[in-house]
Amino acid sequence: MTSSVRSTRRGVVVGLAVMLLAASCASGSGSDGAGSSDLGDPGDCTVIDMAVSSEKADLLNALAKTFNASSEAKIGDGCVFVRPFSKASGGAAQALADGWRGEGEGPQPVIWSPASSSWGKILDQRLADSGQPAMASDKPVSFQLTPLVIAMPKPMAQALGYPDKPVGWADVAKLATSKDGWAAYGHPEWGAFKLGKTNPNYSTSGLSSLIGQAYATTGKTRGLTSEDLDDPKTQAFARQIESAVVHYGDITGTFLQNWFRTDREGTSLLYASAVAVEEKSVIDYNKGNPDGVLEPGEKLRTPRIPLVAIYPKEGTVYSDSPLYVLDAPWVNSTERAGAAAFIKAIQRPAAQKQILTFGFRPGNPDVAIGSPISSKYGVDPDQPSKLLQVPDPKVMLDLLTKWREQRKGARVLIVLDVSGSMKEPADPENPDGPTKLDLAKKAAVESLDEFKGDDEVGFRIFTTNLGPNQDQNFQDLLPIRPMSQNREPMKSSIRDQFPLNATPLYLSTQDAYQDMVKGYDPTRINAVVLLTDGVNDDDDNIADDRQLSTLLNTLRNGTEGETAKPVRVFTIAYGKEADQDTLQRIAQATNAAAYDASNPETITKVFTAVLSNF
Amino acid sequence: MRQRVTAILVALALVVGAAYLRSVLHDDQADGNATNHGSGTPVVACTPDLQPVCDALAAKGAIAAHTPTLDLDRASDPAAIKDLDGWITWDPAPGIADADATDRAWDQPLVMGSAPMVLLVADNARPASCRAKVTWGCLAGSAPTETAIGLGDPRAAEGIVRIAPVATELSTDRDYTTLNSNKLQALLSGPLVAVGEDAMAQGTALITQNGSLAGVVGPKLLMDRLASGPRAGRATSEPVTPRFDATVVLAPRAGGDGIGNLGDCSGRAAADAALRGAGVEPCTGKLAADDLAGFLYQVRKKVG
Repeated sequence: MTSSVRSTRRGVVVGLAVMLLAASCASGSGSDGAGSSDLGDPGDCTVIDMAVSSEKADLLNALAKTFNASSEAKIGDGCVFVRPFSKASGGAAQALADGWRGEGEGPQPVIWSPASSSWGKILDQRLADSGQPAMASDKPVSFQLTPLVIAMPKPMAQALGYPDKPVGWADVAKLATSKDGWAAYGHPEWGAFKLGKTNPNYSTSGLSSLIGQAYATTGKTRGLTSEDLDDPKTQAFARQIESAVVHYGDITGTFLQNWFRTDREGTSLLYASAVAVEEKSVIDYNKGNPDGVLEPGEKLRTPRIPLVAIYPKEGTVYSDSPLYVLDAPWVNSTERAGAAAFIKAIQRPAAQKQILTFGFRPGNPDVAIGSPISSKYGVDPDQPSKLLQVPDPKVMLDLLTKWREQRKGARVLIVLDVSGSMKEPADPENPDGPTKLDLAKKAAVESLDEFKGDDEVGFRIFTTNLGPNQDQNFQDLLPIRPMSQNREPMKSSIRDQFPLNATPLYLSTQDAYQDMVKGYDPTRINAVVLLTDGVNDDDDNIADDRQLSTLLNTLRNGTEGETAKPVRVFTIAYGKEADQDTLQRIAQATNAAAYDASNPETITKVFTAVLSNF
Repeated sequence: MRQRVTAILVALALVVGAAYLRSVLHDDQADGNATNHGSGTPVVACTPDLQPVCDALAAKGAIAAHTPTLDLDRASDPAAIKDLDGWITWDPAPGIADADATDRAWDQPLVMGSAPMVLLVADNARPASCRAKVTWGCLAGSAPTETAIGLGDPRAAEGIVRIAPVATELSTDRDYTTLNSNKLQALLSGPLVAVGEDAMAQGTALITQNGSLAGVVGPKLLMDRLASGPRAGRATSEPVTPRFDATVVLAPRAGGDGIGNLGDCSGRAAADAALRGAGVEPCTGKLAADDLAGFLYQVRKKVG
């Protein structure tokens, strides 16, 4: 940014400075964001709130702590206090485009560091589309880097020719559409090729892999256009790759944790053949820390089958961790100066060496790349050999729009608990407020728009004493049909529900699962979305253990093996009374994910996250 | 006698009055502008990439503490430069700005330092057309679809001088009417990193982001430093023939209050380290050939 030669009277400057200082002090002390508690008290310092993508939240907290205690945090006669908080890149881009007004978004950030500068482009395009000025137009500093890679279990990568033969998206597409699957590479025991890829609307890895796929058909490394995306060849290629997807989701952690758990059981090669992740995730996995977060007391366990990073031969993009000092109306000059001081500090070699220990590549060329960026952890510091240009903002939005049409279709049964406990107030301290069922219905109705028209979705409720003879545990209110037919009736049906009787969780889950297996469609993601607020309660407590054991065995047997018809059961533990442990076991038995909505106020976000799997 | 005394008293009164008026005006100027004319210290602007040079001079009191940034886009705007005494930039940016200005904006610049332009080239991505020897001709002839070379931003003083030797190759005798501007435009739109980035940013991208760029054109000291840093082995700094020097200059503003003791090297010693940081050897070099400013003015108009 260039500053101009100004002719401003000193008095005005002083007055303005006093006003800005007052404003910044007010905003600092008044800030009640979700800053990390271990950073301490900002005192009278101006708070610089910083929204960062989750994979680097721990790192940024450590760097902020060092900075806040240093002399660099003294700006003029005052001081600044950097306070990072975790915010998913896609969610932050949308929240900023909406003016950061939503409840529970956290404090309005001065600095925004999404995983990739692609999100900055998307934000500015969304703002431009709604006639607003850009917020992320300044050239950002990229203080750390990690390239998108295709993570594969080492034996599978070797079957494709790794490390001697370059592998890329073209090989993925070929395997995805091969009726022989891995048998074509001499490994029929591995079954079909299965790809893990996150939802590009929420996840940087998903967005980056979408960019890589799109370039792969064009043979270009830059200048991707909307016309390229309209090319039937590009569209066919995208559909081929999407056809191999296991499921989507908002975080790569779901795939990595399922891989890690099945690795312990010796079945990881059957769960997924490849997952698009950042290089850092491969390092974390091979260290024995699949989610990248080391909880107190957690011990690292090296996986039996390590992953290796495939750098797509067609090229890839970096997650470049840009640091945007936002051109937002809530950012004042003191905050801007404080942000600049922090950004300068974390580019110094001492901070950059700390970055390396977290598995990122330092953005400062004066810091050498060393362990853990090494073959010991399945990655290659000399790769990638080809980089792709992040497309223009409009092309990025076109890419996301096209993906909605091209992504693998879903066949989903939504199973809603309408037991008596759902009539309890969502907030126990507000007995006159909405009930748990009220909020669940609202969340379900709002998130139905995430489905595309040809997704096939049905709606089922469960509680005891249903049906004309009051002897059924569930009732199908809408059969599984394309959403183009079901969307409005389903919204209406969900709104009509009211709390009834007990919670036959195990039997209802078993029935839902088996019904889905009967209608299994190999061309789609087959799944049950199960929301419940309680523990199993079906008036027959004696049989509970047996029922659960039968259920889990059924789920596991149907999920594993070459002839499996994997139906994923995504569970939502709703409210504080929900049986989170059991729901976790149910989800894990189908290599899906369990979601926690123990605070009912979060149910809309959780529901949206669940539906991001499709 | 009385008349003489009266005349002396009137003259004295006029001198005192003028002195008072001048002090009032100076006070007003000091209040009203970000200049330090009252103190006699020159107010000097720098192009964004040379801001550390201004900072270093200001820290030693050699120039006023207020050091605005100024680039080609506003260097011919009278309102933007009226409070300046000088501008530290890359030659021939003052000449290009003068070509843009209604009235002459800058006086003859003083050389602060120079270095040959070289190519920082990624070891695994040397342009096919430059395998044997790196020349401006082979860089100008490289296919942008095959290889991305980090050239400069034609809108910036730092950028246009990096483009100069390639643009020269794409014309006959620097006659802008012969310039192959389509080819130059293709080369400029080639880099994966943003066109607006300077040699430091592009060189950093080449070192830290494998696969981003095959090469970056920049001043020797800067490119040598990037090539020999802790990530040595990623790239080498290679001379390009024929030699083309990049020169940092201090241009006094036409009609300004002068540049104090910055006229000779000893007066600018505080900036030596910053100049080396920008890639040039202090107190070396000479001004660009007379025809370069006019040629680059046209290049900028065509591809800027």
